[in-house]
Amino acid sequence: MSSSPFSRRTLLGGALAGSALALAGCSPSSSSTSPAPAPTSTEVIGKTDLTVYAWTNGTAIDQNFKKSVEAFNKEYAGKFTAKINFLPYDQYWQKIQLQYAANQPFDMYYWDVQAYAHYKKGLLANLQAAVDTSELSDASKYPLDLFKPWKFDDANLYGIPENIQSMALFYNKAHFDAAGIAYPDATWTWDKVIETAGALTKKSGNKVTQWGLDIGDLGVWWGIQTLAWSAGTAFFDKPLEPTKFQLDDPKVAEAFAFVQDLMWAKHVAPRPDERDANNQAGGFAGGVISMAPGGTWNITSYQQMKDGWDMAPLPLYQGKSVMPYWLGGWVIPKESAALTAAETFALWRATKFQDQMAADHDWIPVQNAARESDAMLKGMPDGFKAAMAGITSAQIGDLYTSNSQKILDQVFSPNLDQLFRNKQTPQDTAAKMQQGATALL
Amino acid sequence: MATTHVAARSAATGRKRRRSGLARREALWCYVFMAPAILGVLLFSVGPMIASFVLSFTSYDMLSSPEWVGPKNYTKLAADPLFLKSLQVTLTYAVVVVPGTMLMGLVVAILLNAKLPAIGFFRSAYYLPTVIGGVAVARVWAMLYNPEVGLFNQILGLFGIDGPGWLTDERWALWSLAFMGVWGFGGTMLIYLAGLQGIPKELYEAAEVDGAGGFRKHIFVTIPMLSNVTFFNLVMGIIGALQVFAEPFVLTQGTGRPNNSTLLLPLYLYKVAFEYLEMGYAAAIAWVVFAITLVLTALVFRSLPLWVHTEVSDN
Repeated sequence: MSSSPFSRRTLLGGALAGSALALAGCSPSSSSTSPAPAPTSTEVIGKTDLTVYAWTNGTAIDQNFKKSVEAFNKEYAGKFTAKINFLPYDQYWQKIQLQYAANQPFDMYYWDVQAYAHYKKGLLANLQAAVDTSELSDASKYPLDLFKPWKFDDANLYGIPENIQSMALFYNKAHFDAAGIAYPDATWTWDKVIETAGALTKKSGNKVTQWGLDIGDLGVWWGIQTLAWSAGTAFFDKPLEPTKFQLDDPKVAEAFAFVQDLMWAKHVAPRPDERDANNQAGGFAGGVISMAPGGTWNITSYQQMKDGWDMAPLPLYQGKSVMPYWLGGWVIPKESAALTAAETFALWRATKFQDQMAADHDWIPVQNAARESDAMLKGMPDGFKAAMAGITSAQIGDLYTSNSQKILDQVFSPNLDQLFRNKQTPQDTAAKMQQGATALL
Repeated sequence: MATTHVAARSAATGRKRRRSGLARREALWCYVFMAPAILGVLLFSVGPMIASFVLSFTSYDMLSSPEWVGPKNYTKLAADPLFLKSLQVTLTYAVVVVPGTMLMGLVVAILLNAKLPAIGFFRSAYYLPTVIGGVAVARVWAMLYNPEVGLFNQILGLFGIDGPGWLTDERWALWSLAFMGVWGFGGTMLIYLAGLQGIPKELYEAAEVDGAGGFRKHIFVTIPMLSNVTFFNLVMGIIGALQVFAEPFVLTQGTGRPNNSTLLLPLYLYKVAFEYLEMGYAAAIAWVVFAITLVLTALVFRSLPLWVHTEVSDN
């Protein structure tokens, strides 16, 4: 056999060296944890061309985002130029992580709970100094207590909040009018909802053509946790780095049983397979459901509904109703290539842009005045104000641990799925979730 | 004479030199033309494979540098209930889908090998599912499997049967996926069809002379003569069954539900890598899947002399 210029050993060595180099490149640089300089200083840190990343939320909301970027560019003409890119949610976090891995993080990106892992790795900029220079730190204008969950080190904000979301009971006014039943309000209990759901349900033979109730977002862990909150307990001791889960509290199993019974024992709400069929018919927006507890982010899509609809505060469970809330906003990598521009954009959306956000009706502004403004209420359902009235005493509906995705995906979701399919008792579900989540904590 | 000999030797040496120079140039051009392909394989296949093998011995979340953990990821696999569950799910799926696809492919290929009117249409129709992308197919099957409005339960309803939740009932979900997998037998069928057309007609005539009926002709002529095609389909089927991803991902929204009963290994690998960001652990899973594929393929190859009819063995 003739000798070749490259031996197999050389080739393998080269490939290994190449792989080692590739792996060596997988190391985002770390830097100090001191606050990022505020954008009000005369010095501009980084580029003036800013690229903003968000996940796509449908045409209407994406268009509003684009318009806001245009408005920002107009206001900061000659100083900063921003553009926005949208990614599908299922690719969004992968792309962000890949950018970090390549040492080229995005200039800024829209927050979701996955970004907490980025904070844990020391990759996010401390934005407190920037916030302190703006009206965003004014307690008379903003619900500052609600921002606390984003103070991951208990002192500094690592995200700039700009909007807020919660839950409410959505209802189809046409169904209520047809049945001659008064609309739900803040006094309604879940017992009243169940009773009314029965009256609103319509059948054709054995087939239900209109469901009085759907479990809606009570089918998600944070939705069902609102019942546990009302009963005086919670799934874990604190949302930020919990030290223990407390799903073994009997009140949690009781909340699980309540939701399971809605679908199985009482059957006033469709079971999972029936829900799938309903969803194909459009769900609440399709007019086949009379009442559904859900997130306020549904408001934009419900605006397209043919039937009239409205919203009411979450019904009372064991005499109490506790609202969840979630913050929407921006995080900025420490190594952002356009740090000042990113801070400026985020603060601009959280302050000057709030009135337009209210008028757009896509997000609920975090600024008190904008959220309660006529522009916000105009075109919104009548019950919006009442539904959002308790927002300042709401509880954060997130779980902040670096492996929260794994806990939710491997433990919470499959066990709740078994519960909702009536394959598992509420007690077993609570016990398995407690055991599985504790093992991963 | 001596002068002639020297001249002849000199000419031969010159020819050799010329040949040698020509051979070198040819070799050089050969390498030049091969270089893009070899570089491509090294950069995009061998390099990433080696990188993933090295990564499988690290803890790596893409946000910080990989940290060497030795064989921990591999030992962790043995105690990971979800990995063991997904391994069981995958092997069950493969045991059903691989023989199912081959049997369906063979039977339909035999039927389509007959000289019938519009046979071209039927061949295209049966091959069509193979051409359509996995995601589109999965969306269609999701509608068919819908327990309330899906076609299957509508048909069962005509006979008074309350059909199951095909994708939501733990007892049915994996079988539903497997059925859908078998439905994609078009590729296997096409290869069998090509093999069938290579079987000499004389063999069937001889079998007829010996008194063989239609069924016996297939048992004693078709199947042995197609054994090399079966061997190929078996190897490719095993590899394919261990890599199924798009269909379970779409049909279960990437969850592997209900109760992880459809959590095929590629789906679990994806979740570990891109949802939990445990790249090192995901790389270890990938290498274990590779090892399983390698072992199963090697076993099939070892069994080759026992059941595969080849020209060489006949000689």
